[in-house]
Amino acid sequence: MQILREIYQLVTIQIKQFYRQPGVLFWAFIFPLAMAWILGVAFTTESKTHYKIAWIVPESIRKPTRLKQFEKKLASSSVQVVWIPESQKEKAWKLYRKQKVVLVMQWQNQKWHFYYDTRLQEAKLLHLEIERKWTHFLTGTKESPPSSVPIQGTRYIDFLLPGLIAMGIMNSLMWGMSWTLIELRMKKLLRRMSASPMSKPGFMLSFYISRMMITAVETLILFVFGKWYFNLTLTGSWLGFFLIFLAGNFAFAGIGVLVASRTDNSRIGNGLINAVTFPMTVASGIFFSYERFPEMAQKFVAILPLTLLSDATRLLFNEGGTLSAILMPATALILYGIIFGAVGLKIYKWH
Amino acid sequence: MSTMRIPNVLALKAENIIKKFGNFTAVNNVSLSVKKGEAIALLGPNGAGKTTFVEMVEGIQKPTAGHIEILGLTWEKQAKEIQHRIGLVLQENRFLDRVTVFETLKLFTSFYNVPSAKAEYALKKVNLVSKRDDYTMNLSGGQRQRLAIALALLNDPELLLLDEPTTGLDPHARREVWNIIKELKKSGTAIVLTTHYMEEAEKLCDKIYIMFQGKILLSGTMKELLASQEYQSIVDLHFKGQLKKSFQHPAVIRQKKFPGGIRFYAKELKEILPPLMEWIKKNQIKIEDLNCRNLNLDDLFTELTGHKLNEQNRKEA
Repeated sequence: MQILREIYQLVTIQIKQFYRQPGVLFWAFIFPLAMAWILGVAFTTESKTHYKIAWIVPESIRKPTRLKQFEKKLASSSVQVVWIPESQKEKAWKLYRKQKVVLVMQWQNQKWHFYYDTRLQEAKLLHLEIERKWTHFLTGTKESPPSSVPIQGTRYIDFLLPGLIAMGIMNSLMWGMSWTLIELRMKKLLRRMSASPMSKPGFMLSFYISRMMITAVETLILFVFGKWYFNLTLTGSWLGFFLIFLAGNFAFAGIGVLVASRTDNSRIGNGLINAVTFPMTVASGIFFSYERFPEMAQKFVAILPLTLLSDATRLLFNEGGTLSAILMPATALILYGIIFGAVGLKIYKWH
Repeated sequence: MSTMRIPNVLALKAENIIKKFGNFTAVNNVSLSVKKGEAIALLGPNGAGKTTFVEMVEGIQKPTAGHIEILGLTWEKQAKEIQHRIGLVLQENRFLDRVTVFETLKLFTSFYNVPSAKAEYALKKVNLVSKRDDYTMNLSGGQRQRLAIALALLNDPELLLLDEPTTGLDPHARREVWNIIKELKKSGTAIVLTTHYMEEAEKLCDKIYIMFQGKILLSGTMKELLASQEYQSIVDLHFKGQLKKSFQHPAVIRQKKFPGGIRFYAKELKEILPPLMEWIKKNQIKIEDLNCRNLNLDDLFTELTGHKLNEQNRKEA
């Protein structure tokens, strides 16, 4: 019972310390929300992209009626044409060089010639699109418009928000727990406590519990915001989500203890935490899919704790993941927590 | 946790304690014992090894060699029980910033497994009731020190270890801390106090251990320490010009020249002062200053080490 009383007191104190610092409240609750909103709006809201292209046309075409009709057709697809007479074709290259136009087309011998840097995907796609439209225009056939995919979870925000939840868990534990532990040692606050009969595992457990409570609020805020603003839903198992949330917290608590186990220097502590969190933030596919990495690297990235956590969270949010489907990643995360936490506690410097 | 108290056991027994940091020996073969209800002082300048020694007693550091017994218990076998039965005030006392005085005490009551009501008791004991709901970050140096003592009192310790509890405090705050320590001593708590203030050691402790460069140079009651020297009085004579003839008298045990003056060591002031005054008059010595005093701990320390007790502390300050 004594240990429960200790943990209760420690958790209470840690929560109080947290909400008594308004600055921390901003970073914990407002910042992730702002990031989700900015990125979600920037990459999810439908917006038409406008392209400008240059047409070099011989002066000999006195009445380019057909071309004018085609120009109208392109305009309806947000492609704007800049007409340039052949005698002034230097002007077209000038516009291209200044990136005012995506590509240059020249009407020669009754057909179009396309000019652009072939390494540029955008120009390449526009070339194919214009050529396809030109064929339909010439033959008079109708284009079949594409239909959107009849499933949920394909928007960028559907990809992003579960990743942000995973990243929030990592950052909360790494900065909220690991950094706090380093700070306690740095300010010599740990010394007095550890010289008392305080239970050391209980002390660590209290950090895990208090951080998890704070992370739960952070996650809930993100989730409610996603639901309200982007109509985001958890299509899979709620129990599974709870389990992966606990496992994710546990994994990063263990890593946090190891990172905080020795140093009493703020710069080294900062560096260590960044060395853990930054590569995972970049590699684990929080903002963009890690499928873009080389295959060899992907195998390694896939077993990183943040990747396991974000992939499992996405599975639950977007693919209707079941409890059994996330058992493997949850077990792996718990193992991470046990291994790193045990090593961390073993070498932990209490004074 | 068993807290069975065995009578007639020493509160602290330290035998041949050595602590090395690489090639540096911070504590060199220190042995001492503290009876229950006794208060001892480890007196010495900064770097004497006092804190390292006390931290070994507190279980914060492990000795390189030697044996420590606290209330008949050892850190190797009964660490938790020792922690439950001792109280400690570290040299640097820092507390969680945005936590109130009472919350801090309440947290520690859970560590010591004592009722929360003990927090109120400790607050009263150190006279901090008015600061009960203040954040610890807003406390003055003296108040922080009193809070540190309050934490040490939560478990009614049988042995209290105070590491320089008044360093950096103003005279008023220092006296307040002294009063608390005096009261604890009265209640029968064994006390180990490290200090570089001789007045503190003299006023609060039964026995004094003079420490320098990791070693105990001398120990005993104040009386015993002073009696260890053949002289009991010191006269410092500051004068202008040169001495034509030196002062020779059976009352002078020895004398030492220093720039602009001479120091006489004697058994008693009354034995040396009349002939000295006569000699001054006879030799027409132009006195700038004449300082007479009974031997004190500062003199003793200087005599033993060649340094003044507070010399290093002042330099560091």
